[in-house]
Amino acid sequence: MKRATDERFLSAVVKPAFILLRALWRRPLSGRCRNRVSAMDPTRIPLFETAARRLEWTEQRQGVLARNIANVATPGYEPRDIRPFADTLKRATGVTPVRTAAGHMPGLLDPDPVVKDRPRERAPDGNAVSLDAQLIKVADTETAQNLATTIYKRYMTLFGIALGRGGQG
Amino acid sequence: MDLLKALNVSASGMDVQTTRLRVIAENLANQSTTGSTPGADPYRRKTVSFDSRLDRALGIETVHVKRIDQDRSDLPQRYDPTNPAADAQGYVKLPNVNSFLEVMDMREAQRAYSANLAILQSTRSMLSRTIEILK
Repeated sequence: MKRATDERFLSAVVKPAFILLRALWRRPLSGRCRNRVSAMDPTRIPLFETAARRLEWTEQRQGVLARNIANVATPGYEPRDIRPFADTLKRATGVTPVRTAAGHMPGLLDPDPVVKDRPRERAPDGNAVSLDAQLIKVADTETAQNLATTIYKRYMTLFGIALGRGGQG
Repeated sequence: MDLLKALNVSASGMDVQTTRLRVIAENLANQSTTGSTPGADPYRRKTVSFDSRLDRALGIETVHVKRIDQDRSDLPQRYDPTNPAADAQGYVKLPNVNSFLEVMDMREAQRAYSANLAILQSTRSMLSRTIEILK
């Protein structure tokens, strides 16, 4: 699951990289790419949108994991987690139902991202937080955030090169 | 911002573990505190319980100390007629503190504290990396 998420994330990275590099080498571009680059609008490039979403996801997850670890000795506490990033991405690019009448119910495509974690073990007082499992998740989240921010910065450097600042950002 | 909230949650976790360590220290320090009048009750072991509560100001669930109770288990007795707390038969009530239990609890509190500290540090570095994007 994690590998699939990373591949998805990287594929969203490779495409804009290609567009930017083509722009830098001043090779002929296809119409679609030219439009994107000439706009020079960072929000139009899917990478930045994906990175922003990824950062938001890591932030939320870190908050939930911090709560789990703080409650490691609270009787009856159930650990929680965030839906996998692939799910978030799928929902973000998916179709959303439109409400055409005032009486329509809102679509259920954006449910609460916080879900119950499947506990591995449970203490006699009902607490189901496993410190090791939580800390592994923290490490994963931190790595994901590191990757996202590094790629984001790298892209900003590319913009810098394109603007003739010698890659200093 | 979720990262700042995560910092607050970790801080509350460290806070309750510190309280737990304080109570353990009290128990260990008082493990031979007897009463001062004949037949008086000695020090009773204290216990801490935690509870997760919604912090309305911050809008997050933080962990708090629910209450500090006294362990109501039986007090061991020792025959020591010269002790000022000895009753008519010469027996002294001793505190119900088990130092092995306390040390085990202390280790657990220590482990929970370092886990909270680890996530605090991880959140801090995530925050600083997010800020670095601007540079």
